[in-house]
Amino acid sequence: MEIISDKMPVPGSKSKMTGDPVVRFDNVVKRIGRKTIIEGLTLDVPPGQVFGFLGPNGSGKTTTIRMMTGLMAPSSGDIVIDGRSITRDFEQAISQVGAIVENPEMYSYLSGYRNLKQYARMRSDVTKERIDEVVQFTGLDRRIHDKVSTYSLGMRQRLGVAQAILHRPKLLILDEPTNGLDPQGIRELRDYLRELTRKEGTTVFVSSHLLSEMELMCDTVAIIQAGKLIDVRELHGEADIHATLETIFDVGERIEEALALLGGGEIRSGQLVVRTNREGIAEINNLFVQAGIAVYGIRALTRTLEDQFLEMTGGGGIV
Amino acid sequence: MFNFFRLVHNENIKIYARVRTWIMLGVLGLVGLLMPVLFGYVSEDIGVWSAMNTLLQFWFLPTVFTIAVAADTVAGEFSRGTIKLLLIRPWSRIKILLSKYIAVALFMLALYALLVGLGLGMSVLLFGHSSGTTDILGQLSGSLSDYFWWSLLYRLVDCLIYVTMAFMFSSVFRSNSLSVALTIILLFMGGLITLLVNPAKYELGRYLLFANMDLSQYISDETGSYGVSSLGFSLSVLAAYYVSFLILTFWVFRKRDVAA
Ligand SMILES: Nc1ncnc2c1ncn2[C@@H]1O[C@H](COP(=O)(O)OP(=O)(O)OP(=O)(O)O)[C@@H](O)[C@H]1O
Ligand SMILES: [Mg+2]
Repeated sequence: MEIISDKMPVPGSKSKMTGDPVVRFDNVVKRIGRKTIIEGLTLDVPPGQVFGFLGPNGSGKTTTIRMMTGLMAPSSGDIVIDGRSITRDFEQAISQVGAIVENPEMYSYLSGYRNLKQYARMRSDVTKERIDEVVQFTGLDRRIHDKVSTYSLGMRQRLGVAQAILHRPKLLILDEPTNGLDPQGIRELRDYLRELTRKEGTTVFVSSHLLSEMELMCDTVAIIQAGKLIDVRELHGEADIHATLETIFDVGERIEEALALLGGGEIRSGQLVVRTNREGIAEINNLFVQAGIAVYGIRALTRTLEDQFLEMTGGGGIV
Repeated sequence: MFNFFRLVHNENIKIYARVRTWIMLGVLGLVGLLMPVLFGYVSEDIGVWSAMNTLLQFWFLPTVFTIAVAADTVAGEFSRGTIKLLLIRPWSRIKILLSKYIAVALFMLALYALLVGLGLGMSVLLFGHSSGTTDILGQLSGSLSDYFWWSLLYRLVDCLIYVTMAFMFSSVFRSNSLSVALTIILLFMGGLITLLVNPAKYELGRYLLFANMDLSQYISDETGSYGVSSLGFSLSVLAAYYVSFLILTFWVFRKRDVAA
């Protein structure tokens, strides 16, 4: 009988990773004044994935993205994008990147279209057809020639996505992209990101504190808290299913006795919870029955990533 | 290099798409058109070039307008937050800032061209037939047209210095209003400062920026307003200030963490 007592599931294995990482964080530290905002971040982002970057408010997601896009310089360490250092080889490294950093502020006195033209002019590989295609895709075609000052929050976010994907970047970095989008928009974005990774092999690095959101769109999630990486795990992976199989045994009044007998597990809100695998469940049931403890029900406790996340980050207090 | 001009083109669009810019152009256009008419009323016998020399008294208008645009071009991107999406393109910060500086300099030239062009056109139309030797200010000698073109050139030099100063404040403080206020205060206080640290009395005064501005001081007197300097000396001092302003501007902009 195997009872896994470790409260924290095993971090996702990196075995699935194929090819060189698109982004490589090498012991990145960011200090502002006396405050250390990012503490030694080391992380590889595998290619062709939607990679989630999860953390509570103030955990350092935006700061990390600012460093990835060269807006801020790391205090020490380096970030390598597609084999090129963002600090030493900025122009080469950034040319593979499309990004939204916090809110995508644009020139409000220009139309959406003229804003896109601004960014198109800064590259040699964006044609007029491509601009039209992106406008079509983001659903802005009816309003694209209106001034951005007349746009709603969601429309601005859509325009932000449009400028980020304009040049078909290898790496798409999105800082809370669903902020302000309606359910329809969120869904479209999610489907689009999946499609991008599948069809064009784009790597998407997306930050969020919306956990349910991340579960739906990410292949891998890195979790940071207070500037420290605390976990990296693959979603929809087998390791995930097995490691997090928690089961509730309904043994009525004799819960303490059952716990003592088991020598493992825990009592969580009045229920006996055991982490074990398939065989383990059968064995435990057998054990209880033999000891004369009636088992009224056995139920898999499905914990969403959200539960796990809250547990790990201690309820998500702002640090 | 061709691509770099697309950056300048972008900056031009950002300047000329604003209503504010067209108000400035409108005001300058009116001044250029109406002032010669006014001069015609005030003075009986006025020539084209004396009218133009008088019109140049309005040099502070295009100067202040360009200062406003220069301050906004960098600080405005920070306050609007647009700087983030601008800097994550495959261009070094130096080149992006340079494109802004060039666009501002072009805007300055455009404003002066508008004022002088319209003013000259009106003056020729109104006073082209008169003998035109009378100087309405009654203090000039020599060829009035030569005097005008030299003064214009010197005004452009002054304007460029002030605009570069505003550009520097904008890059350093990232505040539009602070940059405009500081530059305009210095523009009007400059004379007072040189009065206090009079170059004729104090050696130090000769190295002040403001003692060396308005190079037209050397048209009437080779040793300048204070009788202790020369055109070459002033040009060197101005160049030193100018280069230091630019170095500081670019250095700060390149190093800065963008947290807007
Ligand atoms: N310019 C700055 N100066 C000082 N501290 C800063 C600065 N920018 C960010 N911080 C601090 O760094 C920490 C991380 O901020 P960051 O914006 O990266 O968080 P975040 O994970 O993006 O949060 P959110 O989910 O709210 O967007 C916060 O504690 C914040 O107060
Ligand atoms: Mg953030």
